[in-house]
Amino acid sequence: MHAPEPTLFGLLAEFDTPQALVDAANAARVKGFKVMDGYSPFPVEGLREALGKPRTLMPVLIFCGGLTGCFTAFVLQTFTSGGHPTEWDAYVPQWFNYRLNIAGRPFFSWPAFVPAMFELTILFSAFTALFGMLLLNGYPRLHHPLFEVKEFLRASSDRFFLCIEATDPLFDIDETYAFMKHLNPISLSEVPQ
Amino acid sequence: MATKEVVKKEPDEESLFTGTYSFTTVTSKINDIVLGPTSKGWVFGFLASFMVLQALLMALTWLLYEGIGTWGVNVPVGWGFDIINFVWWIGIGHAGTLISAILLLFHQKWRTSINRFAEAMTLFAVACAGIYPLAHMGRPWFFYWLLPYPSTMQLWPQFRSPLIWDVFAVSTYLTVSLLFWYTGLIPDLSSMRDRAKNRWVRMIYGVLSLGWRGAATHWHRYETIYLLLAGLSTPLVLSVHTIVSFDFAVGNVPGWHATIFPPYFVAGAVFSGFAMVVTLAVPVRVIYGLKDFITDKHLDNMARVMLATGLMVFYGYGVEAFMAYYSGSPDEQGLFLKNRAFGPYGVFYWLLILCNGIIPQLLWFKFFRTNIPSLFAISIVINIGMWLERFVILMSLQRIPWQSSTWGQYSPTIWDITTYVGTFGLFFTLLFLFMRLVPMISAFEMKHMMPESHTHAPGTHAGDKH
Amino acid sequence: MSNLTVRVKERALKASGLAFTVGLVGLLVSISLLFVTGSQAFFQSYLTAYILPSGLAIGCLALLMIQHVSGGYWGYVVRRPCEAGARTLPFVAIMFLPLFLGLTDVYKFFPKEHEHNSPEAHLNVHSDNRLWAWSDPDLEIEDHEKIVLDAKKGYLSDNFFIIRTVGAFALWIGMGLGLSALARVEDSKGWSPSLKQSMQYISGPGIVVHALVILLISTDWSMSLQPIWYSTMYPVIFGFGQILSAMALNSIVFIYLRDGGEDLNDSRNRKILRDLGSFLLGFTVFWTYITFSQFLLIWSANLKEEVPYYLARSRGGWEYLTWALGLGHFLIPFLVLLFREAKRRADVLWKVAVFILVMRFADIYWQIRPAFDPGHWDIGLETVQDLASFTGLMGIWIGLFFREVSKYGLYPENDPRKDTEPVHTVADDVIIPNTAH
Repeated sequence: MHAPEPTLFGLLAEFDTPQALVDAANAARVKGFKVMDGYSPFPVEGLREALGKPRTLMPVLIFCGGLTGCFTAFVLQTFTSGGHPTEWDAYVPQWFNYRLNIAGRPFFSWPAFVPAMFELTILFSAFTALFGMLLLNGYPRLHHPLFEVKEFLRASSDRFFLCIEATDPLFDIDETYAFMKHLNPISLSEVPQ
Repeated sequence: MATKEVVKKEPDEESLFTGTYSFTTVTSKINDIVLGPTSKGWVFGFLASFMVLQALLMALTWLLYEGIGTWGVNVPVGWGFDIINFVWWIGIGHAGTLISAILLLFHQKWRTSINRFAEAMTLFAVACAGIYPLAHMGRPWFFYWLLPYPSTMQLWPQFRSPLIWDVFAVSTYLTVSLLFWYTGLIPDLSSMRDRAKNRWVRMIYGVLSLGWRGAATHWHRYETIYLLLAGLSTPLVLSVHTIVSFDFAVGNVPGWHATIFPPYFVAGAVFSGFAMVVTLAVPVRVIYGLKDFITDKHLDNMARVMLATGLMVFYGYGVEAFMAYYSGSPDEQGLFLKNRAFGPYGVFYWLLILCNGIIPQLLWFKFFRTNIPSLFAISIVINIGMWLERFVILMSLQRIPWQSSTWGQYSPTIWDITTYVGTFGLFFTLLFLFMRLVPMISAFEMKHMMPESHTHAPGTHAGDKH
Repeated sequence: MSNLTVRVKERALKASGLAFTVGLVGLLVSISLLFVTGSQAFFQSYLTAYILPSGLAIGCLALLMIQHVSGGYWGYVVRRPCEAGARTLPFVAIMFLPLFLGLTDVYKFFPKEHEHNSPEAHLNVHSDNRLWAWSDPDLEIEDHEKIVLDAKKGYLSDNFFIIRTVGAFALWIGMGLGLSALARVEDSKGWSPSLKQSMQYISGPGIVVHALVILLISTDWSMSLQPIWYSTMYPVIFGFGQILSAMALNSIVFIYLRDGGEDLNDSRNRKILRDLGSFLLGFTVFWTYITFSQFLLIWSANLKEEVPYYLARSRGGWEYLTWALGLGHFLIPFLVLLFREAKRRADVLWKVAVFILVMRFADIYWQIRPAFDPGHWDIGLETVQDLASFTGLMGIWIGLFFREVSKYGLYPENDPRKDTEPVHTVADDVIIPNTAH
C-alpha cells in the first residue's frame, strides 16, 4: 500500500448536477473507496446509498431522549406531590416531599400529570435531535481543510462535490487522480491537510 | 439532463414556482436581500416599529412602578386584556409551526417558500405572548417560582393546575420552535458565509452556521432529525393551545367548562395564525419582489386552510350553543342566552359570528381566494374576529360569578391598550430585524424542490418503475 | 381486464361470501338467544353492535368527501373502497329499522328477569321498558333529574328523533350515491375538470353537512343513552372514531385484495403502505388526544351531571376495559407504528389495522354498554349475545361491502392522480444497483 501524502487531505471533484454526483459516488463505491463523502447545497436523494454510508441511528436516540423526558416528568411530579406511601419517607428526601391537597383530589393525580409528561417528552426529544445531530456530525467545527479550496465556496450554493480522502486504504495520489478525472468533473483539486 | 420523464408533476404544481430559475439564481435572489444594501423602506418600517415598541416599554415600566392596578382587571373580572392578548398572540404563532411542521409531514411542497417566515412569526408571536403572563404576575422577577426546582423554601409547584401546565407548554414551545427554526437556518447560514464579501459578515455567519459543509452523511442525519422535529412539533403545537384551553376548561365555570375546548381552540389558533401569515405575506412579497416564490397559488392554499379551520371554529360555536341548550342546565342555558348572546357584551358575540363565521364563507369562492386585496381584507377581519372570540369567552362569564353581590363590569384602561399596541411594536421590530439579517426564504429547500434536483439511481430509469 | 383486476374481484367475492356466512350464523345465534336472554338484552346488544358497521359506512363517506376536497395520492388509493362503503348506506339504514322499536316498550316483548340491584345503578337513568330511557313516560327518577329531562324535552322526543335519523340517512345516502354516480360517469366518459368540480361541489358542503348531522346523530344514538350527561367533545369523538375505523378498513382492503397478485414489496406499494400507516398513526394519536381531553376535563371539574359517565366506566369490571383501551387503542398501535418498517410491510400493517378495528369495537362497547349496566360488567349470556349480534351485523355489512368493492375494480382508472407518484419521503431508501456506468 502506498503511504498517503501526509500533507494531503484528499482529492475533490466538482460537478454541476446532483445526478453527476450520484453517478460519480456510485462509481467510487463500486471501485472500493470507503473514506469519502459527497457535498451538496441541499440533500441529494440517493447520494448516501451511492456512497455506501449506513443509515443514521438518530431516531433511536431521539426515542430514548423522549422516554427520558416522560419518565423525568412522571417521577418529578409523583415524588413531589404524588403522596407516596409513608414508608418511603426514609428514602425520599424531606425537601422532595410536598403533598398538596387541592380540592380533595388524590395526591397521585395521574391524569393531571400527563400534560407536563407530554411536554417534557417533546422537549427532551427535540434537544436530543438537534444536539445529537450536531454532535454526530462533529459540529461546531468552524474550520475544515475543504474550505481551503476556492471552488468549494460554491458547495453551499449551486455545485456538487465528491471528496475521496487520503486516509482511504485504496487511496493512491496518482491512481485516484486518474480515476476521478475519468468521472468527468468540472474541476479536480487537491485538498491540502 | 433534467428530466421530464423523472419528475411527474401534479397538474397545478408548477404555479408554486414561477419564472425560470437555476440553483445559482435562486441562491442569489434569496440571499442578496440580506447581503445587499439596506433599503429606505426597511429603515422606515424598522424605525416606525421601533417607536411603537417604546410604547410597550413605557407601559411596562409604569406597570412595574405602579402595579397591576394600572390595568382594568379587578374583582370580579381578574382576567382581562392580558389573557385575551396572550391567547391571541400564541394562536397567531401556531400557524408558523403548522406551516413548517404539519405541511412538511403531509409533503405539501407549497410550504417551502413561506415556512422560514412563518417560523419566525411563531417565535416573535410567542415572545409577545409571553410578556402578558409575566407582567400579570405583578413581581415578574420571581417568575422562576413557577419552575420546579429544589428551593430553600422547600416548595414545589402545584402540578394539578393548568397554569403550571402552561409554563411547561409555552416554554417548551418557545424552545422547540427556536431549535426547529435554527435547524432550518444552518444550511442557509453556511451559504451566507460563503457568499459574503465582507470579512466580518463572513465570520459572523460562519460562526452561526457552526461550520456546516453539506456532507452527504451530515445531510442524511440532518434530514432525519428535521423530519422528526417536524413530527414532534405537530403534537406540540396541538398540546400548547390545548393547555391554553385547559386554563379555562378545567374549572367548572359554565361557558368555560366545555370538553370541546381543546380542538376548538387549536382550530381557532390555526385560523388566526393563517390569517396573520396572509396579512404579512401580501405586503412582503410586493415589497421584496418575491412574487415568483410566494405565488398566488400559495395565497389560494392558505385561504383554503383558513376556510377549513374557520368552519371548524364556527362548528365549535354551534356545538357550544347546542349543548348549552341540550345540557338542560339553567346555568349553561342562562349563560349562553343572557350573557353571551344577548348580554351586555352581546354585540361583540354577534360581531365575532360575523367576522369568524359569516365573512370567511366568502372563501368558498375562487374570486375571493385569488383576488389579493379582498383576501387581504378578509385576513384582517379574521384577525379581529379571533381577538373578539377571546374577548367574548373571557368577558361573558367572569362578570357574573356565583354570588350576585360581586357582579361587575370590565373596561380596559389606557395602559391595557398601550401594552397591546406596544406588542405590535415588538413583533414588527423583531420581524424587520429578521428580514434584514437572515434569508427569509429557505434557499436550500427551494433548490431541493426544483425539478433539476431530482436524481434517479444509476442504472435505472425512473420511467419504468411501474 | 388485467390479471390483477380479475384476481381482485375473485378475492373480494370470496371475502364477501365468507363474511355473509359468518354474519348469518351470528345473526341466527343472536336471534335464538333472544328467547333465552329476552328482548332487553337483544336490543341493547343490537344497538351496541350496530354502531361499528354503520360507522364504517359513514366513515367511508366522510373520507371519500375529504379526499375529493383535499386531493393527494392517498385519495386515489382509498377512493374505490370508500365509494363501496358509501354505497352500502341504504342497507345500513335498513339495519337501523329494528332500533326504532327502542322507542316503544320493546323490553316487554320477551320479558326476562333482570337483576338491577347493582350498587351503582344510580349512575345512569334506567328504564325498564325502553332502549332510550328518556323516551319512557313511566321513568322512576329523582326530582333534579326530572328537571333536566324536562328542560330538553323539545329535543329528546320520539318523533323528532325519528325525523332526525331518517333525515340523516337521507342526506348520507344522497351524498354517497351522488358521488358514486359521478364516479360511474368518470369511468365511462373519462375525467374532466368539470366532473372534478361537481364532485367537489358535493364534497365541500357535504363535509359541513356531515359534521352537523354527526352532532345530532351522536347525541341521539349514543349520548342520550345517558340522558343527563352531556359533553361538547362527544360528537367529535363519535365522528372521528368512524373516520379512524374507515381508514383501518381501507388499509386492510388494500393489503388483502392485492396480496399475492401484486408485489407489495416494490417501492411504489411500500410508499402507499407507509402513507396508510402514517394516517393510522396520526389518527390513533388524535383519537387519544380527544378521548383523554374529555376525560381530563370531566375528571378535573368533578361535576355531578358529568362525572357519572366515567364513574360508570371505572368500576365493577369496566375499569379493566378502560385500561385495555388505553393500552390497546393507543399505546400498542402507537409504538408499533412508530417504526418505519412496520408501516411499510404489508404483513405487519395488516395486523395492526385489524387490531385497531377490534379496538374500535372495544371503544364503542365501552361507550354504549355501561349505559345499560353502569358500574357493573356482568359477563355471561348477555355478553355472548353482544358478541353474536356484533358478528351478525358486522359480518353482513362486510359481506355487502366486499360485494360492492368487487364491482368497479380497485383503482379509479381515470383519476389523474394515477400518474402522480406516492409521496416521496426523505427517509425512503433508494435501491442502488451495484454497477457503475
